[in-house]
Amino acid sequence: MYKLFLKTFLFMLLNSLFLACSGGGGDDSTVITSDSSSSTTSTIATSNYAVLGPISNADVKVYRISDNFLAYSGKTVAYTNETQVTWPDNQVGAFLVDVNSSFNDSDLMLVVISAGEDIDPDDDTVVNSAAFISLQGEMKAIAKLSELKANSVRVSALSTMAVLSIDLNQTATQILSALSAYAQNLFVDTGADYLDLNAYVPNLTERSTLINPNILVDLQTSGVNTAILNDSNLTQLLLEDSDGDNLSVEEELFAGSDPSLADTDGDGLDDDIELLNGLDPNNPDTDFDGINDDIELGSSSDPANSDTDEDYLPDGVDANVADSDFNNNGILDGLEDDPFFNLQWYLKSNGDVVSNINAISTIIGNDLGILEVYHSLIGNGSSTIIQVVDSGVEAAHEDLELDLTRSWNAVNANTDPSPTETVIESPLIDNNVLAVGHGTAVAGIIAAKAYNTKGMRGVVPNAVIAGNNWLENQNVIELERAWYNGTGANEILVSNNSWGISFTDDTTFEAILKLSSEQLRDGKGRIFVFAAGNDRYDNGNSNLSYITNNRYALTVAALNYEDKFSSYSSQGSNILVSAYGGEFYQESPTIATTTLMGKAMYENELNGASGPVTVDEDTNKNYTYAMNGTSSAAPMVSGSIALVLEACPKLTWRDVKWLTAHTASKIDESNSLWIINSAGLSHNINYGFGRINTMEMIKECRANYFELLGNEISSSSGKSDLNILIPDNQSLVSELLNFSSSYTIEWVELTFTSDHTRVGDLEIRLISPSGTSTQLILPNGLSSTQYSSGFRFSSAAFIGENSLGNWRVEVIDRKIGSTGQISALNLKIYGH
Amino acid sequence: MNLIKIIILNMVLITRLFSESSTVFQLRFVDINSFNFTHFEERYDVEFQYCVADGICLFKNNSQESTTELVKRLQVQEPGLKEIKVYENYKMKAF
Repeated sequence: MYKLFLKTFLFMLLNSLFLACSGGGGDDSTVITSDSSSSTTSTIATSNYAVLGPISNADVKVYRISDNFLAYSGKTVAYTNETQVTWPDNQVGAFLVDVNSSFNDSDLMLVVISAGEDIDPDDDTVVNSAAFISLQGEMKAIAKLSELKANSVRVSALSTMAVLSIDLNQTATQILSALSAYAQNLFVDTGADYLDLNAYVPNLTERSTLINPNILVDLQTSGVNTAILNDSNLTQLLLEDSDGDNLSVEEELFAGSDPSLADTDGDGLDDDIELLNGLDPNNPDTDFDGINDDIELGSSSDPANSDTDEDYLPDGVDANVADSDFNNNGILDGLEDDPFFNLQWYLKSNGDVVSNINAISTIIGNDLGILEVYHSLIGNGSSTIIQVVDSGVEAAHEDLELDLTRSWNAVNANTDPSPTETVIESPLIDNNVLAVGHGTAVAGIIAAKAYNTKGMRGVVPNAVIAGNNWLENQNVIELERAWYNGTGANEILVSNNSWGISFTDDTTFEAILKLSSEQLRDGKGRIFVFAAGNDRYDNGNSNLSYITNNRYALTVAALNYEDKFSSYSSQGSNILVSAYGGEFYQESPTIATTTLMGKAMYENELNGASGPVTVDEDTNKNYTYAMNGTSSAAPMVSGSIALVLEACPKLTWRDVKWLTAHTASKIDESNSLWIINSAGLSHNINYGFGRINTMEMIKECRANYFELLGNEISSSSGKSDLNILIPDNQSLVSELLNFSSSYTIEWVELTFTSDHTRVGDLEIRLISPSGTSTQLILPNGLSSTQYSSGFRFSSAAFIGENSLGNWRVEVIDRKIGSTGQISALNLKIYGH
Repeated sequence: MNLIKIIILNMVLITRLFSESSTVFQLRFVDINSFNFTHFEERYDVEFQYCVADGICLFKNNSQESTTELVKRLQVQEPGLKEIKVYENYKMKAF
């Protein structure tokens, strides 16, 4: 036999092959980076990568498949101590391989692992030498030589199963094709191929991509790993059907169903029946419509479609699931009985001239896309509770349903949250309808009732509002009552707060929010949504308010009908997402919603002034289309998140923010302020991560592979006594902050201390170790020393990035006349 | 920004006259559990009102000293307290 290696080393691959088995999945380089950062000295510790391995002292053979030529033979490193099994410097389970120069990179190679000891057979991440088990069987993988060189091959139970499933006496093309077909049964990504099998490193981190996220456990419980270890007949085992559901163990591993239960989800349908009908054997209600699969199968209702007749009513609440227009009036059942629904372009934009007096048409597609959500979710009635902290909410409004247990009147100390201010029906007076009725308008955007023949509908048409008129009595104890310890506080899902102030460094707000986020919703946290502010005209920035730039706040910017930022919408690196606020009804479409009953005005009654204008058909004057501002955008997000929580009630406040960022739709793509961070997310101080995408959030959080975020981590890095002069001439000064902790970022705070006498002159940028740069603040109207005691700026722009490395703070004085020094910088990063 | 736009955006303050008390001040404890309330009340002739959020508390000033002056003095003399200020209702505006 031709002898290889040793003298002519073409390459050496360190860690080229790692013996691992099952788990989460995803991009191996990410996994390695992540784990290397958090591992200390303990073993394979931080993750669950190895069911069988790393395998110490294993025999490794590499064959060229075309002629079964043995290209390499060697051993993995023997285990001597725990430090050998930390990523990425793993020695146990990895080996150097040297291959003769006569081989081509495109040669297809078979890797065979035998013997050796699995040093963590129960995969509990603890290496216990007394528990080592000898590998009696073989583990295999197939890869091109070039891929071995690229250090991208992992030998795992999955790659072994895949190799077993194919005929090696085929052409290389046929073999790779067969392996890719195998991979597509395992991974969510329809473009998965054989490389995914070999790149796979179990890690169980978020956004893993396996169809069966529990495959790590399932490989153990189904006996596959034991079979490999003990050299049992793996092929035979994979073909067994021990539970009598006509599915083999292998098929059940792919589907994630239990090989020992014929009806894994207990819905009365065996697993094979579910798969044959395109249903999920792990979910008794595959389409989430409130009706179990066994009931829908064979009836007129489609168990794989939450809205069988496509009328925007989920089957679970649709009295006529087979008839989309039951009364034959030409309107789909789910879109009926809200006479002013046509004004709500933000819910469904039809390209019509609505909600403005300037004959501007809306743009088809520029809407919240919420109708697609209505196929499966519309709110759960009295259990979908959304709080509106505002000027009060009119309890008697015909198109609103209030939760009077959880509502509160901060002036009258009772549970009727109606505003107490007297309305002055003059548009130019402070106590006009739009001001006193502000909370009522906000509530309508969230949850105006649908299907009641009145008015319009909210983003969550089957929800209830817990109103609060705190803006009418803004004392701190009432704020705590509203946000934290009022009656029934635990059950409120979302709190909408369409108010604020241009500058505050008062930490009282976040102190209360902290308690609520940590304790309410049984510890998952109420979601607090805030309007970013309408101060763009004055260079206002939502990062100047501790109300909107603390990490518990989900801050929302406003869009107009063109999917561009509204002319008033404040900027901010802390902004997470956008929704619609419109412009001004004299100019272009604004937001139709409820207003104080009987207080709306017809255009001809306004005599050219601005006010709560409504359409002639609103004969009782209970609605207006004159609402706008980030006040309007925030409740759209509040409602959207309530729908998401209806779909995925286990989400915590951190999960919601994470999901929001990862799913938002990028809009106004030509805007120059978009940045793309190293996690691949686009952020813009005008928009956050873009327009909220409720449907995508729901798809993500319902996916089998979705996992909640791990425990929160935070750490700080700072410098004091800096005395860095900020030149008064547009010159840039910068300072590095080294951050030695490594984790995935959720939120970044920079506390900036300076004696500059006119801090509004300053532009401050923060640049992450990977080069992502965000403008924490731009020149603004602050004209004094507001940063002298340290002012905390925040940013969402780095979500998903890694925290480790040098962060750079850049400061530029953009205006002549005032000077100062940077005295201290402190960076605090939250993540997981 | 013109007035009409301000009105439309509802960026007006609710005109209610918020009560401002010149005798109440707010503070935040560095460590509320180790703070001697009784001693503090007696030393400065102040009276505890209530706390929110586990450490932000209001006190009524019963002394002859103005609350503004007392706040300044506390800022110097009480390192266990921070964010000491004369209490007043917030003045947030609807957006």
